[in-house]
Amino acid sequence: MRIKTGVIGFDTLIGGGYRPNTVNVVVGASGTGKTIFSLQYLLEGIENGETGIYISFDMDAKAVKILSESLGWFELVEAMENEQILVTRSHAENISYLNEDIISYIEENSEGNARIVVDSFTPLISSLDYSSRRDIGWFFDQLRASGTSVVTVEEPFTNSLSRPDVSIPIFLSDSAIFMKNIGYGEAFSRTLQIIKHRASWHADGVFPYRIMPGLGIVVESDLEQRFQRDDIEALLRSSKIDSKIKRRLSFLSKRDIPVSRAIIERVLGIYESENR
Amino acid sequence: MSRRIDSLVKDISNDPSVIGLIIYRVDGTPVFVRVNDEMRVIQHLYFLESQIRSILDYIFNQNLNEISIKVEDIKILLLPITKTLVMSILFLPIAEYRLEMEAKRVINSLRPLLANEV
Repeated sequence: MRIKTGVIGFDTLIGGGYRPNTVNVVVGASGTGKTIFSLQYLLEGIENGETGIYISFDMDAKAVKILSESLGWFELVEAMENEQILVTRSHAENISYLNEDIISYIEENSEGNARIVVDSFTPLISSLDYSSRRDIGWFFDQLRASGTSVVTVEEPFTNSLSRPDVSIPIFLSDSAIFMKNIGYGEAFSRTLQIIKHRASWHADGVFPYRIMPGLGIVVESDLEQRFQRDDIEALLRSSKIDSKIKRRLSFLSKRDIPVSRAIIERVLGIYESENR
Repeated sequence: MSRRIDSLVKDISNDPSVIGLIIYRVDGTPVFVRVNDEMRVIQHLYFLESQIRSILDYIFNQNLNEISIKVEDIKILLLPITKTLVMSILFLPIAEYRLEMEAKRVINSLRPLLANEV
């Protein structure tokens, strides 16, 4: 089972959606669309009758409603009013690092399967160094127990992903994407790249995206090679390959991922030459 | 998008003298890659990756029409497509003039697709 993000074109790139009870990091500088991504994720949940929690350190419920209305997502505003989506704002000056109150709030309201958004995680951990890795790991474990989370992380304008407040969440998350906007308004000015997706296939490459009112983020995910299950199964039947690689290819053919017959033939060629 | 780019660069990337075609963004990110001879391209890719940002800096800030670099028996031609994108072609310089003409034709057809966000 996968948790659809609702971001058009994105689920195809991560093998159908997020895995349940995972922490999924979205990294990007200011203006790349991290908050829109987060709200789109909650919007998809509303449409499936799921509950959601939105935790922010910068925006209160009123600001989230204004942004939702500007995107034409009135269902999201309604869901906030009838508490299908809970919005809470923690004031940065009151944040004691990895605040247990935040975890308690999530636990009390999630029932173990909510869509949780922490937007952004950076104010909580900006003063930390690499020694805090274990504490962030603990925080992520609590999030996993409460549902499937999107955690946004601010990329500093120094263009560095190696700072601990950026790299530790990436290391400890189940998936991480990197959104970038170089601001020229060209086709490839806004791009999205999947850094990792644990226990799942994900697409490689740099994918352009747009942000449009009503639709939110739309990713151009026209993968070149579509999965052809029949092709692989025919190949498995006809080819005289040993049972070990046959079993592995059979596993691959059951996954809905883009892989062509040509790639499989090439893999078989390499395997055969190694075992000759 | 990659499929649309692919259809526009197919002819030139299928040229027997071309071993690879890569479109780089101004920050050095490769946004489109078509490789015909992986082993040969890989050797030069490390060189390109380490140099691409300063090369692109020259192209965009000095308004250069093109840059070509010769490494061993490979020629690398870099042509700006838009304000932020550069097409680099790695090829064996056996039919250089024809290939350069073809590359400029491809640039002109890519420009309307890649210059605008929508």
